[in-house]
Amino acid sequence: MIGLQDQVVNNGGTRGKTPGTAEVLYRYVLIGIVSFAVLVFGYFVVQVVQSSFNGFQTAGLHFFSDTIWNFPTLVSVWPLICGTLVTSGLALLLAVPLGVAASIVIAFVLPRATRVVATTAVGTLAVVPSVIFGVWGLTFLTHWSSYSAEPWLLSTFHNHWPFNGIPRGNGILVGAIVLGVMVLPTIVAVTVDVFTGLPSDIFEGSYALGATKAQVIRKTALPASRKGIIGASTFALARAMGETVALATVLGGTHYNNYPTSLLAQGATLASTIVSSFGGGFGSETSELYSLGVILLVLVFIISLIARRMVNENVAAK
Amino acid sequence: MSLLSSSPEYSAVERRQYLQKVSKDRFGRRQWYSRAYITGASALLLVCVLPLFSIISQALSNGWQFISWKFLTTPAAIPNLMDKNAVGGIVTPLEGSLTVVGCALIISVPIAVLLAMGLFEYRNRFMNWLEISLSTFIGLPSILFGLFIYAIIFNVKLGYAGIAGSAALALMMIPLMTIQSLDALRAVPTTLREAGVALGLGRFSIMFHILLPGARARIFTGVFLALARSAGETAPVLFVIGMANSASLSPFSQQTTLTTFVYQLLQSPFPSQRNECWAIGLVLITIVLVFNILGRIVLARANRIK
Repeated sequence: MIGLQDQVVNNGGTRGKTPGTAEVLYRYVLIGIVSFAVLVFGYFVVQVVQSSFNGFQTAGLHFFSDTIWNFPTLVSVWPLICGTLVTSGLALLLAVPLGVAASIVIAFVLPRATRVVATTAVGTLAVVPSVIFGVWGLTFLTHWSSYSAEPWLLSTFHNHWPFNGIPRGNGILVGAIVLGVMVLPTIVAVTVDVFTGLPSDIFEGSYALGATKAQVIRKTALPASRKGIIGASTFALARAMGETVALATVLGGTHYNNYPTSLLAQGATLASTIVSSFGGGFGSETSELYSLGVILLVLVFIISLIARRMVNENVAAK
Repeated sequence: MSLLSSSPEYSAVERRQYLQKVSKDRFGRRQWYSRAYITGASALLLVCVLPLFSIISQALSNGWQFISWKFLTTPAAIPNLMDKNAVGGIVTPLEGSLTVVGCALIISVPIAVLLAMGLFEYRNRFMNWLEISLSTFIGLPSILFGLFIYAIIFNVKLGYAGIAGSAALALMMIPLMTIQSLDALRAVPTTLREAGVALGLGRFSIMFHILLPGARARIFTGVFLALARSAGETAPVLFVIGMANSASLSPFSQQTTLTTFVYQLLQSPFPSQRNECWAIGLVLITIVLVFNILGRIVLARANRIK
């Protein structure tokens, strides 16, 4: 009967007497602030889209094909979209198994005290500034990858695709690792929430049937939270695609036209291109960068709507 | 379990065989598999924490040598031919960060809390839609807010200024803080509101005398978490705050924040400046962690009182 209570609370207050000045003012202030927020965030979308018109126009219908753009070095948007998808996809490939395993341990195995330590450690990773991930990638990971990881990959797989190329250090491999570490906390936080939100009777049922802990987790917990885990990964995907500064630092600079053909190749993503080639002014170059922003906006908006729906369904299903 | 009881229909041999089977099961393949599964998952948890240790140890080993009072209070020095290892201090970006993030906080907190109140008080289809859109804005790439503000300051012919960066950060923080505050307001028990109604209070009095005090701790938690996130952001402020010539706390002059300063230093060819990045990283991580821990403490205290 929450609805009824709500109505009582919402209508009962001022019934039968004239509302005071504060009450009236309060109402107008709230209406004003809500309209203000709608206007600002609406204007945000309109302005970004409008600034990108010039960019879409100069490239015309060939925006998505291999036309020479006004932008000095940028040829087409496809390498950037591919770069975004490949780096985010590889990052998820790394982060999802790790994150789900960590969430299993945090939610089902660890005692209370250790659980707090583990969640704090993973949560701290979430607040490390992205530019520091860039520093980490550039000074530590790049060194590691150019002297040990990439030569090892090359010699083990005999320069076979996708492990071919020159061991330069920075590139898709390091980018994916940095991105994977950055989205790990998101995956863990959402997945632990989904796990702890599961009803306990399904576990009790499995234990009563004689299942071991691993069987309970594999056969009961994971299937029951499948949608939540997919949702968490989709959230992480949205975050990974929008990541800017760290990737602009470790992906190897300005290789806008390189398709990410190998793990050792250097590349660029939509977001990293915006940061690394923003020159100021408002010429057609800038406008083209805005059009990259619009593509990013649309992609991320759709993906996070899907993610929200999935996580909510999983939480509501209990 | 007649096999376990000493009834005469089963021989001692049969009973022993059954017990062996049972005990094999208890200490057998299934249990070993389960243990291996959990050990493996715990190892993966350790792998998850590994990058954090790597980052912190790198920051300490490369950056700790720079940290001193002088480093925090002097302006930057540029490496030159005479002194290739010249490293100044970070007072300019420190004050820049303080100004930009502080102004962002002043702009965003009142708007976010009032917005949450509005979303809380009036429920209809439009408000539902607004709530969903706001929570989608949380996940938006932060660089888009920077692009938006850049378009505005370019159109209105304002120059680069710290306040523009604050506006971008505020836009980024408002959805986050609004949703957190809304959750906080909703967590206050309905019975308290009903008590207020029974006393004849209006919406305004209920909000300011019952709901806000009850939700205060969680709202503060949201503010601290948003603060921690925005203090570490580079992309939204990079295009709009310009570059500071000298340390100042004025929001209308050009500013350099700690994060954009690190981003500049990363482009530098001098190795000493690469190491300085780690020192600034140490400062940044400390600031962000303090905000984060403060938020957690406030939340823990609020939960304990309840």
